[in-house]
Amino acid sequence: MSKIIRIKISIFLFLIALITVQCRRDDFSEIKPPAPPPLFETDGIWCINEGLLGQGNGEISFINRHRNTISHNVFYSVNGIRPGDILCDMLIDDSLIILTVNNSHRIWILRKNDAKIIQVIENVRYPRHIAKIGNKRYVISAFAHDSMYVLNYHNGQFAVNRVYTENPTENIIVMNNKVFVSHWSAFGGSYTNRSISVFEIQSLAKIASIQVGKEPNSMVIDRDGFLWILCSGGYDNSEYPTLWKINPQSSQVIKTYTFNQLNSSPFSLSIDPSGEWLYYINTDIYKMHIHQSNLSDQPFIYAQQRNFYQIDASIDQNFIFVADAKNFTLPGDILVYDNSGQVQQTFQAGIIPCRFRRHQ
Amino acid sequence: MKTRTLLLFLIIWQSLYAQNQTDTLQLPVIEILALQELTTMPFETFDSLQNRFETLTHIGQFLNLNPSVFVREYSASGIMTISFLGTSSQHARLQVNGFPFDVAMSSQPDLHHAPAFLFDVLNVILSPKALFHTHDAVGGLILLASKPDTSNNLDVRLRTQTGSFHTHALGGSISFRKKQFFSRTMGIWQTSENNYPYVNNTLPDRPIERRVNAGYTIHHVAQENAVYHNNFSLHNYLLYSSLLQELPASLWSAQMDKNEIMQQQMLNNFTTLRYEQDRTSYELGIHSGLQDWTYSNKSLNIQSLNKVQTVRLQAANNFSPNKNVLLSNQLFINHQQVKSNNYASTKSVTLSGLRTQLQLDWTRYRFLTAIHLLYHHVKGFHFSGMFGWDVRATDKTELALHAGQSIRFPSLNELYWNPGGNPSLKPELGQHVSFTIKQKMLKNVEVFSLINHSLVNNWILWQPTENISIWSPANVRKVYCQTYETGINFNRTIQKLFVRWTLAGSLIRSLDVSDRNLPAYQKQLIYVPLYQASSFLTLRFAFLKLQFQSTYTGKRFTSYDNTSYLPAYFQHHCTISLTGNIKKTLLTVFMNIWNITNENYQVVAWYPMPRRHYAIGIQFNL
Repeated sequence: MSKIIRIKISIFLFLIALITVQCRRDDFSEIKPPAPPPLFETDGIWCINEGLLGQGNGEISFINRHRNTISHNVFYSVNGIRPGDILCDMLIDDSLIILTVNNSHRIWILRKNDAKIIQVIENVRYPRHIAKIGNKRYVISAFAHDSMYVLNYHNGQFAVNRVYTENPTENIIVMNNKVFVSHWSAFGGSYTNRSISVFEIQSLAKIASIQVGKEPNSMVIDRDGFLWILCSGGYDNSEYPTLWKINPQSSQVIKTYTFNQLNSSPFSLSIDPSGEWLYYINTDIYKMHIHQSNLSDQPFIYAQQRNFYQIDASIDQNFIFVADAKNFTLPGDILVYDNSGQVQQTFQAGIIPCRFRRHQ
Repeated sequence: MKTRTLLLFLIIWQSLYAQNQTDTLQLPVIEILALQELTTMPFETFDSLQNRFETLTHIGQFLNLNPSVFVREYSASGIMTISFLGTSSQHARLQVNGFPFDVAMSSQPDLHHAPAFLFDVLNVILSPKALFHTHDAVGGLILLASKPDTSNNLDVRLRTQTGSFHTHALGGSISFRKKQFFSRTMGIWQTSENNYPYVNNTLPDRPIERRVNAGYTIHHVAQENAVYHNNFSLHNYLLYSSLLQELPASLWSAQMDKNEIMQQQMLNNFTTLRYEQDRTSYELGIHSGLQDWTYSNKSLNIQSLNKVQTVRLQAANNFSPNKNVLLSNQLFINHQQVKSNNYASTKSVTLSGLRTQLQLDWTRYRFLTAIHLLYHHVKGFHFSGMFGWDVRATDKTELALHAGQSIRFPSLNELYWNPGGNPSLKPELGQHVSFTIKQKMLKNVEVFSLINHSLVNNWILWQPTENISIWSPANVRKVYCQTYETGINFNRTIQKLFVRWTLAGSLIRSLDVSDRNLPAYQKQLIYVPLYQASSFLTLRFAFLKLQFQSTYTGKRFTSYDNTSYLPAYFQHHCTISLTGNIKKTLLTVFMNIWNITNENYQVVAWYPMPRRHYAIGIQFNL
């Protein structure tokens, strides 16, 4: 082999080596070690981040109110696996955290003090929201499915049963030994989505049905014991949105408020801890008193460049928690407003923050 | 010597620059007229009747060897898309016998409908060189062509194989040539339960489970006829393909009875009439096609019904006044009509255009240029083009410099999908430049290198609207792609042992440069691997042939801000075949082993791929 050829080969090999060596180390790294899990002290706020459909990147974040810090990817950092695709709801009861993962058909039972997995319940179709109906007994709504699920604790484990509801179910409110369930979705069948079903709490037999507007997406109970239901009018804006005030005892409609713009889609109805002030999102955030005769004209908080996705005024007397989903593909923001509508704090969230729960 | 030193310096400088550059915007967008390559890069051409029979499956197996190509799969023979040079799957183009061939509604190629078995020539051409042939090959172009056999009177081939996961395939070909008439009939049938085991890493105890509801059945039938008479030739290629797939669920619902099925049927006919006299030839081509695809989800009671009709007429004139000049003009009109329950009503799109190509050869140089003038009945007039300069600098050194502008019109789904389609979308515009070098180092060793820069404006991206249940496409992105590929090719016959080995690697930066205020700014696009490498070794000794294929696919980000990613993985495959003559029959017995190291990997997040699996088979050539 001539000297010139050896030189050429050497240059080429050097070139290959240079490309390899010059690469940044983290280009070749595997999964980075997760951040240490947060301290689950009292007075914390959980934020559920849905994640993007099909990406499996839903997660839970924990805000430590004492330290004013937020910890992300808590589920992964504690358990070493991802919770799933489209996280939906969380319920904290006694020593447990129950977490529903909509598109993963899963329910996680976690230990409250460290978020470690106790049990996973699989093959539950599209679980959505959770409500407590008894001692370690819970009901879970289901999307695109004509049933809801009942979780019962028995012999150290949770077992799940189905209850036929005729239409898919979404929000759940429990009061006066009744379970009120909204039918929001018509996806996946010839379902109707303009009513609330009422079930007896023990037997879960259906005892009443209340007709409301199209796509009831959120419900609250006020201090007078009335049920408030917000209806978007349909994702296709086929009807005017409406807000309903219902007597839960008699299932009678007390009052209906109709929005004056067909192409608006109000959602995320919330009420403050006193049960007096209602909040909802209709691009901007609106506030109204439960005794107001008309809907508020002016926004309480203007969205400006933000994309408000969820509001929760019920978990803290002095603050309102608002989720900004931004463009739905990048991490959102958690905004903490005071009762006058001023931003007091901002935290970065996960992808599509969608719900807040008090940890105490 | 000085020239070679300078060239090597350029290669080294570019490689160093690629690695250390953090602000890619410092690189200027070079708009020069580029040159066409004299020769192709390895893994770009498969021109052999024999090679065609080395697989009954899709051409993704060949494309995987090219480190500038990323093949994205959801499972074995599941939905599969390809992307070139860091662009998306909609920037890849496929042509069959000179006609565009893709899934009309999404405007991207589906490799299942064009298996290697049915064609004789496979060319992979990266942009901007690909713009010589078509205006919308933003990333690259795959050319598939059939070449009527001129030698044999009668040729019969039969290939059958069986393998893991109850996979069976049978393919055959009968071709006949008599004087001026040629006819060939080919068929493939494949079926698989596809029930491969995988590790479910979404559960705490990581169980080994087996895929359910992932089976598929594929049929292909092709009928080719050609007639030659004096200066006329008539060539007809009729292709039917049918694909029935159970769509596997992601790991999140792998054991649920999701019951999603997709069925695609395509019937295409390509006819070309050609007349040649002296230095001029005329061609008239007609493509008529029907696509029918149905998606159903029995769990959710959803059904999607879609029918597409395509008609394309093209007329071309090729004129060569002397042996150094070739001028070609082509006029075409392409009409597609879709009837779908995903659209509000029947929709159609018509694209017409004029393409002019010029090739000039002068001593060691070749100049190429092409201009496409286009009229889209919704988007109006547009143009694209390229030019290139190839030079054989020495007997051992070849250089090529190309540049061009591409244009991709929005697909039918992007315009008309209901809800969410956006009729006001603008076409995507891309500027591209590439430089390639090929150097023979020794008698049997060849080194090659490719540098490609592309800037794509008005990149269309589907994103959620204010109503999160509705996604809509918008021209929101500007993407800057840089590809650096290098490799070595070795061929040697040592006594009776033939050895061929190609080793290549690439670095692809595909960066979102749309908006400085977004976290995605200058971040790698999702599912574009930063590094890829491949090795393809063939050993042939007498009747024995061994092939080892190894690929490395680097980390792929799965979030726009690059905070999460899928880990890198290696793939190793092996084929062993024995060939011998029994009387007048050429008999080949072969065995394939895929994923030799039993790697547990995912190409798309949460869709595990098969671990080690096998196939054995036999092939007869009569």
